[in-house]
Amino acid sequence: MEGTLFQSTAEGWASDESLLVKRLRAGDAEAFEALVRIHGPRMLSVIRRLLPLDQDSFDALQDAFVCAFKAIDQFQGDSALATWLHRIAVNAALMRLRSMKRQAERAIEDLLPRFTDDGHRDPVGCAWAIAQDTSVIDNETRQLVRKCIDQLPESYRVVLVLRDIEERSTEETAELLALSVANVKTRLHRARQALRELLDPYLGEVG
Amino acid sequence: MNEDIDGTELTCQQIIDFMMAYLDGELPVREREIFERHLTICPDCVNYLSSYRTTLKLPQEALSPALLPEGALPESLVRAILAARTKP
Repeated sequence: MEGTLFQSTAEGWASDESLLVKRLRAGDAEAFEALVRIHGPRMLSVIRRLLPLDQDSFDALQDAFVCAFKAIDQFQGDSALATWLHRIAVNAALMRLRSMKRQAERAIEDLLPRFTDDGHRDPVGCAWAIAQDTSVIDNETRQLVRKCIDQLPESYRVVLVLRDIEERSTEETAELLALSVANVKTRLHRARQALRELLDPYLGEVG
Repeated sequence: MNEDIDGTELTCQQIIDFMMAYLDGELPVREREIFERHLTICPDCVNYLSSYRTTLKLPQEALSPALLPEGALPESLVRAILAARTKP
């Protein structure tokens, strides 16, 4: 019964964001729980792009909510609550990444295209079966892309996620990761090449 | 990536090295012409460029927020987050 009552209240708050924000500012415990239940799953998915391991992503989500709880008075309502929380989630994941001991990662060179001595690609590839201007991809391709992104070395995956998924600028990405702009560009190009190589056996046409 | 294009011809390896700069419009006019001339005679680089362009778009398609999997958080995680709020 209590669960049902909470659920209907949470649904009400999900559809009336200003009321939820008002209750959060008033320190309403139920509103905080609603915020976690409504926005937590999507924030966790965003964090997992950067921190694929469960425990790391759970810790970062907790950090993100603690930050959001503290900063709720600063939420101006200029953007949707989900957009504000999304940004906090990405920042929390990056903070956690910075504090983690760097693990030995797969060398990016293993994933880059190979060339003959005279500069030709070896082996020569073939066209992809998927159209480059496609705006809709099937679920199987979506899963494949996620799996291949997860295989990128962390220091390259993070740059690709920030630039090509989060659509942060090169300059902003450089600042977030404490890298030079030139380094971000180099890593992004290599990450894209590596992702292309990982996808190639699945998306390349035969012949 | 940051090296200049020398001479009037490029190898496929150099084409791939300069591909991001080409797509970002960062190649000077002369280098751009050399790059595009190579594409007129090299089907492999045309294919590579096409698949590279697709690779730029697929992550956004596969992981856009609207398509992220939804589902309830583990209950223990919800409890831990709410408990963290009241910690000093």
